[in-house]
Amino acid sequence: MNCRRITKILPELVSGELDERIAQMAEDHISGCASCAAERAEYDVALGALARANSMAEVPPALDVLRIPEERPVRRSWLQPAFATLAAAAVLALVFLMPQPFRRTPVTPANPPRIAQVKPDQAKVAPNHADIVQPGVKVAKSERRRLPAKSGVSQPAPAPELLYADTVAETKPLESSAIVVAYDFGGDTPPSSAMEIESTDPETGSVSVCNYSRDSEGRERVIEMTSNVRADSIGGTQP
Amino acid sequence: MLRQMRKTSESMLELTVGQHDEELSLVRQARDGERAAFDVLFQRHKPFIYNVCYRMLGSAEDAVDATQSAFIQAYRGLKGFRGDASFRSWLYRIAVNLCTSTLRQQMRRGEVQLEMDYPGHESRSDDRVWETILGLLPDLRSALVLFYFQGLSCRDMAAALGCSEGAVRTRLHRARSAFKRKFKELEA
Repeated sequence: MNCRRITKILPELVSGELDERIAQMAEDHISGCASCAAERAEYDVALGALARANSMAEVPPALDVLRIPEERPVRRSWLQPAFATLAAAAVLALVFLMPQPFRRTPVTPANPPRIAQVKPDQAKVAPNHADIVQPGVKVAKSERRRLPAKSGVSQPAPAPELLYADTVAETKPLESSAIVVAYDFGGDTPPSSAMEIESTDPETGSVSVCNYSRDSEGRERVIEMTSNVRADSIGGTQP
Repeated sequence: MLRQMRKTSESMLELTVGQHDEELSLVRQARDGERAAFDVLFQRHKPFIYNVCYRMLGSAEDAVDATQSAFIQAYRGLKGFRGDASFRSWLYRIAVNLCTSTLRQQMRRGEVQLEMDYPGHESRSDDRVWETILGLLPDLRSALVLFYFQGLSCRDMAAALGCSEGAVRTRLHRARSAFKRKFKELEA
């Protein structure tokens, strides 16, 4: 068991949710590794405080009685279906009569996903990964650049290339806090998928994102980015 | 072990067969228009729903609004309650969705609750814990609140959140990691 694996299972180890055999292997490693022992101590302190915190607050008097407002009945008049029919006919007429180029304008999602703009020099990145996300950037498949094949000489793994952004919005609705990016790690590693905002610092507005993906050997690779992006700079897909 | 320290209050979702039948009977009566039956359900479950809302939103006033909205939504949507899970887990799902939606609207408006507002009868000794929780995203916050403060198992949380147990474990793992990181930052 190595340090990377230990880091992944520490929350469950501290919470007593690991299989006994694996827990023992983890403890054996921790007893001989200062950095893992320090990390474990941090989890002990944090999750211990969480477990001890007061749980049940007193219910205020405002909730002594539940007031349920009456639902207003929906008024239906004969005009509503007539207007609906007219409106539908008008839309159909516009669709068929409008000029060709205009009809090809792509429809953008009503709620485009937010994409954080990260300045590379301010970004703290995990080893081997870089995160440069530009809002509204789409890279066509034909322009996708593959990472160079390994030459056998030990060198730092090149940063994954940004492949595309916001196209997932075309296939499914997104939560407003989601950031959609994809990275091509090259070789047999499939591109990663959606990332999410991990947390937001309310004072600075900085956003921390975390993504998990699996490499070709099925190992979980964590890409963690922390940026100093202000929350109000998170915008839509169009620059 | 931290698991033994975790508070397991009366909020466990497992009911006996008799309790489950009694609750289903109340739901049926409420569905048929008997408001008194729903009031019984309200009084029974409101402490747990209020606490989830309070811990997620950080504000007693917002929690009162959210709790009322959750129960109103439940009352109006009683036809949608199938009875395969407990009534409280169904209520939890409504409450968590409402609070998540509220939090996201607040974040979009730039309104962030930085610390709990204590309505005069709460202890301030857990300030750092709550400040840390309030710094997490709604999905991670709900995982910690349901697990640590409502005493739900992963199975119960899956019913409450409407997802698989595996998804619950993943979310809890991420929530604990994020909590630890944030907790340490606040110490510094």
